[in-house]
Formats: sequence, structure tokens, C-alpha cells
Amino acid sequence: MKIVKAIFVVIVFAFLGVIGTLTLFNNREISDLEARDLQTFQKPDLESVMDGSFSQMVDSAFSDQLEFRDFFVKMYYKVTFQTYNGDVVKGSDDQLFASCQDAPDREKNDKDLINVANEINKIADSLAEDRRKFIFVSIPRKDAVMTGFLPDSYTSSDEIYKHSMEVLISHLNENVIVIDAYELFTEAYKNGEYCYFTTDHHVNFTGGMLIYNEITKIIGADYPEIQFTTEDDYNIKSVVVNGSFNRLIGQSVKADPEELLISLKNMDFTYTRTEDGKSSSKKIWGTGSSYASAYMDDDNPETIVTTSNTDYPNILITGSSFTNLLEVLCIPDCHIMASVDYRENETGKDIKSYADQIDAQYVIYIPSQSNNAHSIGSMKTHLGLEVS
Amino acid sequence: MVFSSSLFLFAFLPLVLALYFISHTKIKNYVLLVASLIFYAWGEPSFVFVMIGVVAVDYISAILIEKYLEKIRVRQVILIITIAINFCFLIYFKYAGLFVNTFTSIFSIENNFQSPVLPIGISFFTFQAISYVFDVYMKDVSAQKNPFNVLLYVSLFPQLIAGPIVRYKTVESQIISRTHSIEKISDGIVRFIIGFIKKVIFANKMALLADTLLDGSALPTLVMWLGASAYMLQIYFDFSAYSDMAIGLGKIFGFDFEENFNFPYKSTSITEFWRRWHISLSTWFRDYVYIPLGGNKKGKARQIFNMFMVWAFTGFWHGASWNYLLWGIYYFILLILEKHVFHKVLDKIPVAIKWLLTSAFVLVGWMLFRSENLADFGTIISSMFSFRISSEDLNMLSLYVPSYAMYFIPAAILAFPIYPAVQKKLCSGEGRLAVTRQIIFYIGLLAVFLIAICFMVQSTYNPFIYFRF
Repeated sequence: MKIVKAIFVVIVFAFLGVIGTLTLFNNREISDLEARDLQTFQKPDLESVMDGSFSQMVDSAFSDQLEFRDFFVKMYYKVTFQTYNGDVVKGSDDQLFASCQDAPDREKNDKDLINVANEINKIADSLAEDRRKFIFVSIPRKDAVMTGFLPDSYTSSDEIYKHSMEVLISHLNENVIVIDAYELFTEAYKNGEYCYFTTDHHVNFTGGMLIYNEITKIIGADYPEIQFTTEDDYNIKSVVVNGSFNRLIGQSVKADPEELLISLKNMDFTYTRTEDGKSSSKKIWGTGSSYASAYMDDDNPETIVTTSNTDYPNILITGSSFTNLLEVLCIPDCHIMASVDYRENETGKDIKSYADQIDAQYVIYIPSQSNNAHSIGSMKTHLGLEVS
Repeated sequence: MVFSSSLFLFAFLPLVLALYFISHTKIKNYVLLVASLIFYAWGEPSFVFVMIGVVAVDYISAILIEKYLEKIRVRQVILIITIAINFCFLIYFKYAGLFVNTFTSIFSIENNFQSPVLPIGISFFTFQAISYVFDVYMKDVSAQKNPFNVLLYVSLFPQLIAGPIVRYKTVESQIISRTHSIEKISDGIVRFIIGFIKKVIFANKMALLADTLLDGSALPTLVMWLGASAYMLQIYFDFSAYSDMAIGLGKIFGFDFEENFNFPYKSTSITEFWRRWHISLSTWFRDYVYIPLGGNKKGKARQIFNMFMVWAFTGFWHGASWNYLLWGIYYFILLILEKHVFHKVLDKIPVAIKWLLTSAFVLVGWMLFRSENLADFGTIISSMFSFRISSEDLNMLSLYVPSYAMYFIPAAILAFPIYPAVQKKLCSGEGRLAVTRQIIFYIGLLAVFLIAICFMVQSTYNPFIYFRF
């Protein structure tokens, strides 16, 4: 027994001592894993020793330079069943943001954007041949709009976004109708109305309504019975929203209750729903307290909702989870609303095939803005194109 | 420096251990002393001189008291002066701001007083130093002639900043001569690791939940109970973890400190709770305040007064804020009711009900302890006892329960004496089977230790609650 105990003692002391010794030889400046600058070891001076700043520096540096730090960090997320939370940044008033967007290589990015614009044009042109309208809804990242809540060290992606939009719009043809939510959201923000959830990157009810009313302007031109909607048309519940960013950091933020749409006040239609070709009993709104569960009951590869509003248009929406709220808002004004999420859709059907299938008068394209403003990959993905 | 930091775990501790064990027996104490002073000076170097000042006063006083041992008046005067000087340090650094602010606000006087920065652990080392002088006065121990030994007793880094409050008589002989063995070192490591796990996995996660929920705003009933329970677990795991680590480190260096916690949440009365919670503080107040005031030997009225003094001091010891005084008085009232009013009724109540009642009163006490003002406390209590269960409860519980259940449930179980039984089962006996069980125990412990290190490395949320005392 004594030998076992001795071995145990040696293992523990050796483990601590070896890691400590190896750490002293480290002086990395950047952590790729955590996407941040690391505290490096600095030489002491009398003043820094006496005022305690030297010891603070050594504490931070030792923690940052710790041998196997990346391993320990990764292990933490594995054993706690979380994804890595370095993607979430906390601003003032508990506002959570995606991590700061790196400035892209502008020349390369512009070229890529022009290529994407050409792809969008091709699809819009092919749809136009069948008199289908293609609406490109561009939603900026939360940090591009809610700049006043960002931490000091955080650079808003608004300039990147605005430049990308300039490039894109200048290369899109007349068959692409663009709704840029940036102006809508920043105007609302200046008036004290926030278009994103506190603990989530998704657009909230206010933001969704602003975008959808722009869509109704386009649809209303062809279908005069489709009018603007206001908050008064809906039943709203006020709940503490289970934000996707908050989940990543262990629900460490208790945000104030926020509004979730639960139903239309005058629901004068019925509907059926299919998921991936099969009948589905999932609700379109009013369940759960997270964005995904409250709107369309999570992301689905292919959703088709058919309403009793036979005189209304058919709408195809392609995009990521950012489409969910707009789908909910669209459904009362649709006969058929089809939604395609090409991240998980394995049917092999392209946008035109879906548009033909439901005879869509409108195709709404909402590329995800959650991770990178105008990420070429996500723009292509949600066009149903293979990403190289 | 905190035990649950990378610097302590991977640099300070291995270095001190190496220097300590390669040193000759004669200089082991000096190695420990230098390490302890560096440990304390780390972060706030100037405060080490405050501690040395306190120790110098008490060292000289103890020598003088021993010199005038037979002259009762003289040693009484020396004792009173010494205690007054010690309390002057404590009052200036810890309570001056509170008293000045309260006085100026009552009399509407302009207040430009800047509260001094609080030296870490001042309440702990002051009480230790006073106990030394008092024990010399009471002839329980001899005055230590070597000032470095007195300084080592007070500054010994395992227990320096958050206890347990070690009595001089407990470690007197160990300071002069102590034994080291593989068994003791391995037991110390096990105890340290258990404390480390309790702190970085459970206390910190419960702190995150409690801080998120208990932010002064009203909450649905069930959510407030969840937040309050999280705080109840946080404070136990935080403080008892520190004591575990202190006791474990003490063992590694050859010291045997007394236990500071004995599963207080299994208590079925408030009296029992305080026999199990922060034992070194309770016994300190018993021996150095309650008994010298006359204890229960001068009639019931005097006993109640003595209890009031003890609990008022206990409350105030925890912090320079009036809510701590109220918290102490809250326990004074509960104990008076328990001992003198309801004792016959309580005897007839089933144990399970007594446990529930005790736990509920302790939990309410923690809410008083945590609240920065009575308005916050009122908000918490009205939320907890409104008993209005709504869909909002379920909504918020659905957010927090999935994220914290994996910490909350094990923490609630580990707050009861289960793991000592498991440890005893695995680590006792003789023969090959016992060795196998011991190996399994060590492997399991090291695996959880590794996970706890991952938590420590990832976490930047690492405050020890009791440091502020």
C-alpha cells in the first residue's frame, strides 16, 4: 500500500512540476484557438512589483502560457458537452455578440462577391423567365448595427458589411430585388428599438416586422389585398428568451423578457405542413422560448406549408435559421410557403426546381449573416450551390 | 494568490514542495515562512507589513504576559492593550469606512473619507494572533521565544487567508517538530484535490448560477428557490473547499489542522448547524468571547446577553456591512427560540421535518447574508414565498436547469457525507484487493482532478467568497 501511495505522490508532484516548468519556456503572443492576444511574461521592475501589477501580469501570463492550455480548454468543452464559446462576446447591458469579424482580404473578397453576384443573377434570370420574382434580403450582423453595446476592443463589422453590399449591389442585375436590412435596423436602433435578441444573434420580432413590411411592399404591388402588418395584429408573449449565444456560455446572462410572436389575432385560415415530404404536426409559432423553437419549431431541410388562402401567392424562402421568423410572418399572406435550408437539404433540387414545384411567384433569398457578414460559403450554400 | 490558480498549482506549490523537502529539517520552517510571506505579498506586497506588525505586537505581548504571569493586573493590562491594538488594525482596515459612512449619513455630514483597501485575510490572521496571546495569558501555552515561529504560525500559507482559524496550541508542537510520511503526504494530496474539485467545478458553477439569478430583481418563485439553493451550495462548496485544500496542504507539510466543516447541511437544528459550519470560528467565539463573558454560568439573562454578543460579533466578523450584523442577530434569535422557547416542540417533530425547517432557515439566512440591503432581501423573500407558480417559472427553469443540472445535482448530493464513506470503503483494508481498490480510487481522483484543471484553465470566474473576510 505504501508503494501505491508513493507512486501516487510522485505522479501528482511530477505532473504539476513538469507542466509548470514547461510553461516557463512558453511566451506565445496569440491563441489561435481562443482568437485572442495572450499575456506574455514581462521583466519586473521595482514599481510594478510594489504596486502589484507585476504579480497580476505573472498570474495572467502563467495562465495564458500554461503548457497544454489548448488541450485543457478543448477538454473543458468536451466534458461539459458544450461547443467552444470563444465565438461569443459579451457587450454592455448583457448584449451578446458573435466574435469580432476579421477584416477579409478585400481584393479576394470583392472577386468572390462578384462571382456570387453572378450566380445570384443567373438564378434570378432563370426565375424571371417564368415571371417569378427574386428577392435578396440582406441582414447585417448584430455588431454592425448595435454598435453602442460593443466592448471597447471590438471592431464593428459595419464597414465590411457596407463595402460588401456596395460590391454586390453594383453587380446584381434588374431581376434581383434587394432589401437591405442595414438601413432599417440602424434607423430603428437610433430610435431606441433593437432588432436583435439580447442573448442571440437572430433578428427579433421588431426586426422581422421591419423586413417583412418591406417584402409586403413588393408583394402588395401584385396582390393589393396583402397589406402591412403591425404588432397589433399579433398576439405576443413576453418571455426570457433562451438565446443561442447564452446557451454557449452556460446561460450566464439573465436577460429581461423579450417579445415572441405567438399567433395572429385574426387567424382566418387553416394550414397543413410537410417536412421533407412527410406530413408534420409541428406548429409554425408559439412553442418554446428560443428563437428556433418559437418560430417554425426549429430549422428543417425542407418545409412546405399550404394554407387555405388559395388566392394568395406562393413563396419560396431559402436560407438558414434567419428565415424562420420571416416564414412565420409570410405564412398568413401565402397560399404555399416553402422553405429550404440547403445546409441540410439532400434532395439535390435547386432553387428553380423548388420554385417550379410550388409555382412560386416569389423567391426570397436570405443568406446567413450569423458568423461572417457576406460569407461567400454561406451565400453559395443558401443558393443551393456546392461550396468548394 | 489563490489555490485554484494555474500559478499556484503548477509553479508555486511544486517549487515550494521541492525546496521544502530537499531542505534540512532545521531550515524547513524558514522555507515555509519565506514561501508564506511571498504567498501573502503576491498581489498586494505592502500588506505583508501590516501582518508582520500585528505579529510583532502579539509576539512581544506574549513574552511580556509570560514574564508577568504571576502579576494578574499587569498581564490583564497587557492582554487588553494587545487585543485593543489588534482590533485597531482590524477596525481601521475593515470597519472604518462603514462607521464613518454611517455616522456621516445619520448626521448629514459631508463625507470625504476614503475607505482603506482591505488586507486579504485580515480577519483570519488577527483572530489567530489574538488566540495566541490569549492562550499564553490563560497559561494554556508558553510564549514562543522565536519570533519567526510566531510569524510562521500566523502566516502559514495553507490557512493564511481563509482559515481554518488554527489555534496556536493545536500546532505549537508541530511548528517545532513534525513528522512527514508518504501516508500523510498522499492523504494531504487527496484532501487538496477534493477541495480543488469542490471549488473549481461545483462552487464556481453554483456561483455563476446564483449570480445570474440573484441580481436584485424579482423572480418567479421556483426560479428564486433555484437561485437561493445555488447560493447555498456555492457558499458551502467555496468555503469548505478552501478548508479542504488548507488541511490537505497542511498535511503535506506535516501539520494537522482541525476540521472546519462537517457536512453542515445535514443538520436538523440550528445549534447542530453551527457545530458543523466554520467550526474554527464558532469555537473561537465560544472560547474567547462567550466563555470569558461568563457563558451560561451567570444566569439565563446573562447567557442570552452573552449569546447576543457572540452572534453580533460573528455577523460583523463576516463583513463590514449592516446586513452581516443582521445575519448574526438572525441566528441569535433562531438559537434563542430553538433553545429556550420551542425546544419541547422541536423534540417531538420528526427528524425529516426538522431537517427541512433547519435547511429553510439556513437558506433564508444565506439570502440575508448575500443581500446588499434590506430591499434586495425583501425582494428575494417575497419572490421565494409568494408561491405563485406560473408559466414563466417553467420557461426560466427550462433555460437554467439543463445548463446547471449536471453541477447542481452532484453538488446537492456531495453536500452530504457520501464521498467520505466511498473513500473509506475504497481505501481501507489489507491485501491485494485493498491495493486494487486504492489504485482505482487514485485513478478516479486523478481523472476528476484533470477535469477540474480544465475547468480552472477555462474559467475566468474564480473569486473566493471568503477572501473578503
